[in-house]
Amino acid sequence: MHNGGALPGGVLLPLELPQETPLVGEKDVENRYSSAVIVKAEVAPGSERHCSGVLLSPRLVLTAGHCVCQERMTASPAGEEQGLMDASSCAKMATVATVMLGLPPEGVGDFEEYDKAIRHYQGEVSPHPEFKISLNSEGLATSSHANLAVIRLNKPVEGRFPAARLADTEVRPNESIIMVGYGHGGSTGDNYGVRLFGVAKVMKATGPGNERVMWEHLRPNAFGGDGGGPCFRRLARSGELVGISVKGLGGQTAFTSTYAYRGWLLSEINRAGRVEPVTPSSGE
Amino acid sequence: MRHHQRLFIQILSSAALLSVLGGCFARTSVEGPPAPRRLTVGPGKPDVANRHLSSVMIKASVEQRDRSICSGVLISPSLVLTAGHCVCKNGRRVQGPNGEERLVFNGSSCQQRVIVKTYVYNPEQENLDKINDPDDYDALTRHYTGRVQPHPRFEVTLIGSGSAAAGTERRLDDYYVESVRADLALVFLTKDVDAKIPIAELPDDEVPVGTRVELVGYGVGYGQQKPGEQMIELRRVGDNKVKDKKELVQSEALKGVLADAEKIVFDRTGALALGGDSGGPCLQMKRNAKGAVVFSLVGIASWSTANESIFTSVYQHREWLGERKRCSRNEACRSRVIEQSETH
Repeated sequence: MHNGGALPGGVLLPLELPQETPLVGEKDVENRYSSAVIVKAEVAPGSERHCSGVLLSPRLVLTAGHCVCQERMTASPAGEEQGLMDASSCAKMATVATVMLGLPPEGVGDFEEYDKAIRHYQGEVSPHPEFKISLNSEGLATSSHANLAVIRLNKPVEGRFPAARLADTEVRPNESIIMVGYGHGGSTGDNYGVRLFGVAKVMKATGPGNERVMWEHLRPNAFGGDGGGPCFRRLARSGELVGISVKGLGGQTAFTSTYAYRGWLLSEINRAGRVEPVTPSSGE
Repeated sequence: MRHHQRLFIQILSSAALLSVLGGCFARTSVEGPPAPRRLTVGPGKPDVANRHLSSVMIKASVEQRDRSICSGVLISPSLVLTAGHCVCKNGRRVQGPNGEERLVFNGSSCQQRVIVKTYVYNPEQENLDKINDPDDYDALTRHYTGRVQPHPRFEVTLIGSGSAAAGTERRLDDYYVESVRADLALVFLTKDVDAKIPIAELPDDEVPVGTRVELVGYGVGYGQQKPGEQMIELRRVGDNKVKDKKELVQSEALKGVLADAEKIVFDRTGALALGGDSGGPCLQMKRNAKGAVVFSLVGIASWSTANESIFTSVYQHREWLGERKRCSRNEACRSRVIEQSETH
């Protein structure tokens, strides 16, 4: 119960809001990583998942499969119940939001406040055809493959939101990367739309085709990414995408290599680019 | 409507947010009065058409980590009017001669600085009618800070009900309103808001009973939301008609408050102000000499029950407001207010 209601005598009170958890990580107030977007999908009725994603073209967003698909229970070959996520149980549509962030023109005391321009789009979800995650009874992933999904937007994003470029080479151990995303995967109110980033270091790649890349923090309290959020190569031209964070699957510090899925991604970008452009309205 | 969309797109299309904010805010051209409709208590509807850009959100103090929100309205590009009780919250307990306890809020109860936020929505957003989370609205938000200056006669007195158990402090809920006077405060902004944000006009006369006005605020909206998921921090607008005070139920609690001429009242035949809407305006749509739509500021939300909302008449304080408005447009005067020493 909020305490913003009326007293017995009826004085209207200011509305007290709950405290927010402070965001941990660097705030992208220079909009260096504006290709990173918010992704929201109703994976089951009444169950909305909040993640991040990245623009691959003005009409195409890449995120993690687990951000837009729902777990279902199946029997394992040994007869035990296990969780399974695959391309057959995904949301049809997702909401994507672009964010321009700015510092207010002056300090506002000990509050962290950011000027923001947030715009939402709708798009059709299309997981990688081989997307498959098995989960144990604690909800931890025991195996994961092709944890990627694209969202084809109904219309191109408006404004200057440069798309991320796919890396031409796989990341190597000890390379520095930048994790980008929207904190807590579902911040609301003042923290909604505050884009964060943090530096991390690549450890090793595992899995078929080295699709799973483990990383570690370079310093304590660095931003650790958000499910579906992009990982960029640090010392390359900005916006060189190397992976998509798997955060949200049992606390693993790993990302799915986009290099390993370059062929599929290029064909999706190509397909999104072939969509008939919206005819500009005439007479103005 | 395409006009709105274009402006919104322009805002969002620049790489450098701050450089564009000076340029192109969506601004609605208001066509005629809102269509009559059945209203329920409370929420009105989201102002996604940007009809009331002059209504702002007031946030907390910058000195204290409280997170309360109120509403307010711009009466010059650098001056916001809100309710005194929104920004003067450090009440003082006073023991009466017969042992009664009062809680008094006045000019010495005020915070120094507050944050003011402007919101511009996107009337052309997809699926607008399906949104049920305030975050899901396209929005351009901008922050300002300002210096609080309460009305010189601002005073709210609450009186303790019953006797508090020995050794315990009364909770705010255990007080009744005894009197509310000049429940107004100004916020002098350290810089002008964007030039495209319109300003509410000070009134030329008092509104007669029966006048249709629009109530605007960023507070709680009832509706289809589940508990804890109210549509707060979203600008809403609803209509109501100014009610005759004599027609209200004259409960003991109301008497002291309604005694003044400065109160404007509404009942639940239309929209009411709710928590967080405090300090928000009620506005009368008018046309100026050139035929353009302007909004004349009628009142500032002061208090509500489930059945009525009481606003402070702006007209009754027009001299103070007019003088302070001129001060806000005079650099020397404005600087003096903003740079006042931190002590009273």
